[in-house]
Amino acid sequence: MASITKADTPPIEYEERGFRQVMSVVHTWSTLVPIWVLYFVFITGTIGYFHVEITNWMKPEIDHVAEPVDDAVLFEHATRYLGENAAGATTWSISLPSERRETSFIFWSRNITPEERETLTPAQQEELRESNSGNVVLDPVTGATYGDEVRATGGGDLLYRMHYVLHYMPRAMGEYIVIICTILMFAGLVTGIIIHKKIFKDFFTFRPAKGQRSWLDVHNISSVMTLPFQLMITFSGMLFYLATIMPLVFYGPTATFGFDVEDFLTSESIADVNPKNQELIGILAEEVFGITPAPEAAGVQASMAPLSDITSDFRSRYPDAKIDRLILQNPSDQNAAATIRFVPGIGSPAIGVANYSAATGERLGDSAGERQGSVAGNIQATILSLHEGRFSPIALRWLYFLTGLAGAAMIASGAVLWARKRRQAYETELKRFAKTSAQSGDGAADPKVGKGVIFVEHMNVATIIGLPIGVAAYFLANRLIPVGLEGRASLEADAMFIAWALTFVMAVIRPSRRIWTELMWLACAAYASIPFANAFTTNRHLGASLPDGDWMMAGFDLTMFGIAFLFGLTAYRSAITRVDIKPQPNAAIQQPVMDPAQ
Amino acid sequence: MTLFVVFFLIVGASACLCLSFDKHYKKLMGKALKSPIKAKLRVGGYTVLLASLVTGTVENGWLGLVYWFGLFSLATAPLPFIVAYLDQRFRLSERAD
Amino acid sequence: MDRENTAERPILMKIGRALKWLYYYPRFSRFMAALVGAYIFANVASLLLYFVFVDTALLYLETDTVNRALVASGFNAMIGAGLMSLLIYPLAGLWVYYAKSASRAWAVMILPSLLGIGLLYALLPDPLKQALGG
Repeated sequence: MASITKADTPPIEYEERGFRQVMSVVHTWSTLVPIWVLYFVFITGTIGYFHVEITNWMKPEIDHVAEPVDDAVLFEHATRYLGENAAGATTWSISLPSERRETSFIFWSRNITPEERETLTPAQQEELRESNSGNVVLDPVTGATYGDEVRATGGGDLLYRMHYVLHYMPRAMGEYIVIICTILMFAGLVTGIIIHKKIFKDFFTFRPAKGQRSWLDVHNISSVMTLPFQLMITFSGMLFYLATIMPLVFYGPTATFGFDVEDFLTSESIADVNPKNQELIGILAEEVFGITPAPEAAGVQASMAPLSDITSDFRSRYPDAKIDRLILQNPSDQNAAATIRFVPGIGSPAIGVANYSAATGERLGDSAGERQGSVAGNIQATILSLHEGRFSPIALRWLYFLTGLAGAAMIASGAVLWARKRRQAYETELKRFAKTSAQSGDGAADPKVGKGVIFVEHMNVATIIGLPIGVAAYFLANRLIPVGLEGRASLEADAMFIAWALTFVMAVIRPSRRIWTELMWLACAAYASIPFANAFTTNRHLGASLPDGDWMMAGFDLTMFGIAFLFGLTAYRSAITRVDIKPQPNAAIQQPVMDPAQ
Repeated sequence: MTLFVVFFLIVGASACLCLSFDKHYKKLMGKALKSPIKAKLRVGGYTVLLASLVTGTVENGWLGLVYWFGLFSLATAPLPFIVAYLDQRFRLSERAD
Repeated sequence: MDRENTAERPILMKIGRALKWLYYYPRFSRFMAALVGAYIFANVASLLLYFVFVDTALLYLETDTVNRALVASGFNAMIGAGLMSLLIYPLAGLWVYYAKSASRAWAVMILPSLLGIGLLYALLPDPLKQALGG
């Protein structure tokens, strides 16, 4: 069995290779090794930009709220509910309805005070914490809360979470894998820029129907046109895990002012760290990140000012800012503090936090604006916000989504390009071998394509088309699995991975010339069936949501149809293109095969 | 509203800059690109691009810059495919010069 | 490796094979230099950068006292150094592939790191030395 690498020419000694050639090898291998993990990360992360909207769709029991509601009405419902059910909590959080979520999401929790830390055992502290924590979805108009009638589901949040912890493995393991893949991807981006000689000359170049060249052009277009986004997303992805990638820098503060790193990184909450560390972390939060701490509880009961007064005051100061949530610390205490977290608008402070006294309704903090963090802190916070698309209105969110898909296209086209290159090298070798063995008649065995190439080809189609099919299966499972079934949330995730695994089986057993088209048709069918599954299992289908103006539901269903259409279109075009039919030399007479319109 | 203006400015700038390449000009216009026209297209394209950046950021600040990068990708990415499609559909590169 | 000697000591044979593999497959060595060597290099660089960025007054403070402004400058220095070294890591890894040989790559990654640590020990005031060493 002859090997399929560069046959008779001896490999170039490493030292003799040019810089670009070496970087090309690095680019190939640093991106090929993590390529399918990166594709998974990109797809789930891109979907994650709409995780709130997806979770809305996956919980159809939560009613559509047709009219926006007044703050006063919402807060009256919320504070009444919290007063009855969360009296022992030290923190209440009430989110306001927005264009992304029509209902109010409320959660509450309990901090352990230093005195309790000393007098109670850890088990008692844990019990105190658990029994005073919880969350609920509140209808802002009626004040009704949603309980067990809402189906248990991971929602879009689970897909978003998979983006950085993967699935079916301990969190730390998934994170380590994603971290390593991110570093390799960054190396891939930098080497890609280095090896792309004609980066400006090729800026608008696309050569269709030229096989490898066309794929290279697609790879170049999807990466170069979105390069700022790709660099930002990868670097910021690494920044999330600064403590893991650069642990030694955290010992600088240890050496200079006794910051306890292990204590900081292993504690569950700020209340668990030792007092000296607490003071230092407080300085970190306030001076570097501009987070004003809530005043401590006075232990004196007091009535609270109407929360709607606080939000009206805020809105009158910053009419362009959008309030995300209101957080009450130590409610019904004299020192109760209300913190408004907001999405900055024009003219409002960039740090989206405003502090008020909940007892009196007065603003806390100086009148010139909220406390600003330091330059370094702001840079870090900005980079991380850019990654998550925080502060993003719907239009920008769609732009993030499209550039994220371009990133996935960059990865996919790179994978296909590698496989095609190797396949082409095999075919060239096969021709050459056929010629020489015909001449010499030595009857040697045909060269076989490398197992690595076959593996990559199967993984390519199974991942590039199979993963979207898996995501479609996740949405279908949400509608088809019975609502009351135990453990349905993890079953939905299982459905996703089972569907994905089955596409890999298909990739192995079906002929390679047809598998791409077949899987794309399957993806088209899967996505097209989602709105139908919605119609058959709920009353929130397009026939109801469009007349109602329920864009949460309608938008999702229409997007599914749109994705199905795109898969169908691509499947149709790939079916009519045959790689083994070459265009005839006299193109004026012969129609090119890729043009169905003629 | 501003975003639409920014988007169309970028589309225009990209079209100018695309045409300023010899091979694309030849393909789409059917004749060779002369230096004065090339210079005008380049200068015009970059000016309009700068104008789009200014338009985007003067009203929206830093958020405008983020929008600009996103709109830039959205506007420029389809252009190579459009050029290729136009060439194929109208057989532009096969016209007699 | 001498067969007669190593036949009785299989562990030596294994070590010999492992060393030989590392020696004869410089690509793996270079890859490890890029992954691990550059990691060490970037981490030491981050610590050195911390001490470059930090307010020098902080170095002479007793670690028990908490001066708000100086602590804040310390944390800022930490974030700044961390951000820069996140860039240094992949770029150092890429430089490894630019180096003329794997051994040279290792040398450039490890020797400056050792030098950096040594420098910190030599130049820092005593209380800090104890803190770093302890």
